[in-house]
Amino acid sequence: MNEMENVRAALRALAQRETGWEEAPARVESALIEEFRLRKANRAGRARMVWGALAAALVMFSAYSFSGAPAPARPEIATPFFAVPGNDPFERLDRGRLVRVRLPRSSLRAFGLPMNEERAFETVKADVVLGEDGLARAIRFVQ
Amino acid sequence: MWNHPAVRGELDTVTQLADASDEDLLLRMIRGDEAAFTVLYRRRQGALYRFAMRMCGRTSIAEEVVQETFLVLIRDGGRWDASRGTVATWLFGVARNQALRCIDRDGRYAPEEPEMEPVSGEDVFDDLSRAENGEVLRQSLLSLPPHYREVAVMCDMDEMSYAEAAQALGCPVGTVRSRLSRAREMLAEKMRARMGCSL
Repeated sequence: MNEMENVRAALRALAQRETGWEEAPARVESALIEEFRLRKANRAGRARMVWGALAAALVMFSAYSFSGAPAPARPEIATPFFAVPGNDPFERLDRGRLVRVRLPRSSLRAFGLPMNEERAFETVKADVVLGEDGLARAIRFVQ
Repeated sequence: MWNHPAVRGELDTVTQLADASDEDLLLRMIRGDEAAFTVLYRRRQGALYRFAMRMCGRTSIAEEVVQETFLVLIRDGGRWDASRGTVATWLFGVARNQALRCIDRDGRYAPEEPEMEPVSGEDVFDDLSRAENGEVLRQSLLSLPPHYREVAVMCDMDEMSYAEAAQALGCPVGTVRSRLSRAREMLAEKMRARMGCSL
């Protein structure tokens, strides 16, 4: 055997003679299984939270939809409807829904409306007309 | 205790999974199957622990390496890419990164030079039956730079193929070959220097 083969054989022999290194201590397995359970529980909890939030959003969305919207407590002032860019303004809309949403005040600018720059981070109420396909067709801002 | 229904149920599940491949176990584990994780852990932890011991030379670090490796599996098991190797080589790759991190964090492990009598024979590698020679070899291995140490441990001690080592290390097979050759040369030099004998 040449020298390199001797080294290889020596390392192999050393590996075979090692004792006491066969396994990690049992506490490592216990700790890992504990961590596995914890993460599984957290994942399940997060999933429940997400579904809960979605359900709540759906309820709120339904409450604000056109058919069931509660009557406002006081008269509202609204802008005319503006066509949402990307849609044909003359397209006939046989059926659709009106949805009340809150948008960043800065969205007023996108429709050529004046906006107080100091209040750019506030939100503003808006009614959005949705087509049957769920896409926004028109919008008006409400105060 | 073993007759308790819960314990018996767990044993039954673990037994059923004993023949499943690593890949199947990983997929089950990602879906939240604790028994699959347990089987995969028990199947692979020994080899990873020995690898970490040979790389780091300390039980506390080896324990940490195994724990961190399987935490990565729990957290990021979904990132395993079948096109880049088996689950086993991926785990070795993770363990190797953890070991390098520990070595880097704790400073290069400089083992104490044991005081030893020169060996009587001409060839130190022929005299490995003597426990102290094995210890000198182990210390010499630990004093190699990590990139050379890891290929010597994987290929010569764990008997991984060059291809498996390359997958675990994320480098070409040619790199494994050249590093292994250099690692053996360095070990031979160190053994000559420590033992004061010809090879």
